[in-house]
Amino acid sequence: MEEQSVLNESGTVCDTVTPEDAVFIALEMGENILKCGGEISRAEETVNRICYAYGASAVDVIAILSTIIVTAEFGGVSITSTRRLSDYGSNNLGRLAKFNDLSRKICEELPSKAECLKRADNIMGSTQVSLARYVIGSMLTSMGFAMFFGDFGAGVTWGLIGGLALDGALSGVLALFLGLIARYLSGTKTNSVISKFIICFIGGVMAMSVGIAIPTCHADKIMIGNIMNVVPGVAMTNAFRDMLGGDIMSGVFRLCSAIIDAVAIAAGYAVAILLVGGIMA
Amino acid sequence: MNDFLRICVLVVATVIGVGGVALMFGVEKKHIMWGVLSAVICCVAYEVSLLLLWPLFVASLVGSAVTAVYSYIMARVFKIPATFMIILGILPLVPGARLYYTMLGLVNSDMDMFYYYGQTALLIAAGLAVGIIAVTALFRPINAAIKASKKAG
Repeated sequence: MEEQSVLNESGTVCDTVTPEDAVFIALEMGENILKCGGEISRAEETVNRICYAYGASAVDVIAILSTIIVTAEFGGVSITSTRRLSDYGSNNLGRLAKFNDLSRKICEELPSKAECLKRADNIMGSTQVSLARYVIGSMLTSMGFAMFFGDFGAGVTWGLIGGLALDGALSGVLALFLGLIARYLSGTKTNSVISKFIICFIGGVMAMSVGIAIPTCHADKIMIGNIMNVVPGVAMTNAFRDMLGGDIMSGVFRLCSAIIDAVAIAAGYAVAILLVGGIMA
Repeated sequence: MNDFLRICVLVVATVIGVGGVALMFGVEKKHIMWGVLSAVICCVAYEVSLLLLWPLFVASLVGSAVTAVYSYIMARVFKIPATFMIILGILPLVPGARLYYTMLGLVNSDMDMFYYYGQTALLIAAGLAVGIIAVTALFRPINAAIKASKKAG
């Protein structure tokens, strides 16, 4: 920071906010941003800015996916605080945009801790993805990507387009059931790896059964469409981004998490294929 | 002509698929169209790069770089994080299916499948990341200069 802010009796530039409150607010925003799928650098920058906005003269923050640690100095007194994150796997981009905007407003308006928490709660409530929206989104995702990964080797013909549409439609129908199962499992706080295994096993059994019942469709393309709902492709790419951006620890953390998820997904489908194939044999 | 038709089909599939992801990820309705457009741009840039016989790494780098440029410009227009446009934009390229085939090869002890899809998944993921990082590095000083001139003005 270019110049030291003038601190009042509370220790910050704002009468209603103590240094401990300022650090708490900063950590709260950093945590919310990480939980929504924001990058590590964005979370660290947010914590930095908020602490400085409330009058900190020095801020050191380090964030990985599971923890944020900050030390901020207000008027010669250092405060260190830690936040342990247990839920960081989701992507709610609408919520991320709103928290980003809230962080900017906090730096401009310097509201009290209670006001910040109230605004954060409002965002959490207003950006919850409804079951209907989630399931429709899941169906469209499966439909689109089942067609995207179709086999174009023989050239684009009406037959191919019909085949893609059939695979897409069937993948979309299966995604309806898988989406409901996924929401149920996330509601029961089931371990993420086990959830993915269960979803993929059920998805694999359904796709193989559909493939047998409707020989003109392609069970593997239907499965790929369903897989796109759970596969950690974005996590893997973000892992590389973190590593290339200098956050090696976070990048390795994300990459390991993505690989474990991918193994669970593959194992779920492999067991389904072996089971259905074995029964048919 | 066949390549053009194939790209058209891929664009339609991208619109449906990424539109679905945008719904799942809680993107606001007014932003969904722009996020889907980001994915279409990425898909077309990638496919054109492959048609020009560029390597897989370069094609995915080009796709993600073009998407990132678009995302940063739109982020200034809509005042939202570029991250979400980038995430939606690169979805057609993220090595989801390849990652699945890689792990399927591992689970089934099919090492040829494991190595082939594993290396293509890593190449594409690395290309995507490098493209995004390169554009981010370019836009950071530009954004800082714009903010500084606004403060001065």
